[in-house]
Amino acid sequence: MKSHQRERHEENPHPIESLVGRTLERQAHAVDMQFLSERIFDTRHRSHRRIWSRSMLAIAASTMILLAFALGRWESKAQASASSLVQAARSVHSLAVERCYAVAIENLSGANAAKGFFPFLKDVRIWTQGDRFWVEAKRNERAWVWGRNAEGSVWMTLGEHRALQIQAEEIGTPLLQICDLYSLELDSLLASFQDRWTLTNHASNELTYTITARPSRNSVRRIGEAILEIDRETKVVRQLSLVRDAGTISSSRVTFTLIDSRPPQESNYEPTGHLTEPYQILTSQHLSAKRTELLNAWFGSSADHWIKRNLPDQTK
Amino acid sequence: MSDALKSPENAPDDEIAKWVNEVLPKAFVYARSLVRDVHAAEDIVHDCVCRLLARKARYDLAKDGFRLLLRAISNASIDRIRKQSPRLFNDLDAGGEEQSSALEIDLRTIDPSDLVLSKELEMAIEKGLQALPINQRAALELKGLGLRLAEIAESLQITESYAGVLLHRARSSMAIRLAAWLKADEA
Repeated sequence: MKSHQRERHEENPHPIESLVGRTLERQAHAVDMQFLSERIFDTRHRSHRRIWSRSMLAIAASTMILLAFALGRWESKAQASASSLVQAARSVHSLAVERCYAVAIENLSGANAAKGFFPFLKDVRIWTQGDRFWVEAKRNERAWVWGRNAEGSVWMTLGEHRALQIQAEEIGTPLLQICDLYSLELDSLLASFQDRWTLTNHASNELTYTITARPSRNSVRRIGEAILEIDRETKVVRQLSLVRDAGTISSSRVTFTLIDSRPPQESNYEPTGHLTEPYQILTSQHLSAKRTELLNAWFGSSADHWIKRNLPDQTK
Repeated sequence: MSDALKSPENAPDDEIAKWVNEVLPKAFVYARSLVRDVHAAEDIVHDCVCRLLARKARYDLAKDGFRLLLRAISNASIDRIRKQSPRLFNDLDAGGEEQSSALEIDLRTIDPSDLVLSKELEMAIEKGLQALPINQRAALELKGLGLRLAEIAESLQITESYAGVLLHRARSSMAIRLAAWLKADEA
């Protein structure tokens, strides 16, 4: 009898059960599962490769090899998840939103390492969208803005009415190193992490995923390690810490911390967006000596070699 | 489900993808309701789906996949709650003893399709579910997702009769919480 009642009940669900079912159904329609779906297939794709590795390794059948495989499995799983997170971050950062990061630099090579460079600046903000960026910097009472365009030229505003532009081939080593230190070409950086770096997802908390990226043995990079904190909800990079190894000069840890976001203001990616009429932009059409003089006036003698000397004179 | 899924070791990726995308939203919503944490739910569903797909050759995904997934999610979620709040877990079956006689209507006379699932009612249902002990919530939601009593019992690793008890308690509690809406619709 009871069984009969149960069967009848299974066929005609209780109104409360129906309401709960419809509520879950509606909620299921409202959730966006694209990211989770990608994350699952990314893991699955990599697990296929692991299975292939396992069958090969089984032939060897040695304890040490199996141990190494177990380690490899663990690392690969972490890599899968981390790679999909980095991909999600790339997608988010390609949207038309400009984000501002506060930049903090820590010298890892001792006091003399920064000789010939900016002293590490304390109040630097970088605005970025995709691979584009511009930087606000302050030193003592002076504030200036600089950026680098797609052709690699560096521009710099020196006051409200004057800016100078230095072509890629004119940039001296000291300035190149400074630009590398403070720049943030996020899309390219994330893409290289995905392609060639070893990614490990670890220490995630309620708010962020934390991913460590290390260059593979064969890659020639000037970044020794990167630690990304990606927002769980929005997949925005909340913090990025890069250990930059500038070869013959210092090793530094640069930390970018998200502080603001807004719709992009295109004009800010050019010097004209930061100047007030009437203004003058000194380019390679002007004497490099004139531009160096200006740089010296702003940044002191450390700027002596920011523009290469003995280049063909383009003013003629 | 398609035939391709019936021999899952040969199932092409797009068939698997179709199955995953079909079950994922419901599985996630269920996990989220159990653990009450979006990110934890995301991690649980991710792990459970990956484990299921890794062993898909052993199962008929089309026939049993969703049920097996819900079972794995139930286990993982309850396990998580147990680790996080042992005290809460010990009170799993506390509550839900309200007397449904307080509801002066016969729920059996109501046709659920007559009920308009307004935003307010949906919120009241969510609130009511959140107030239930986790085993009752899981049982009621699994029923709402279309599982039979035996399958609910299997998912929660309890006897069928105890699953029935949990469902009864959950329905009674919910009926009291939703009385205002149910009465209005009856009128």
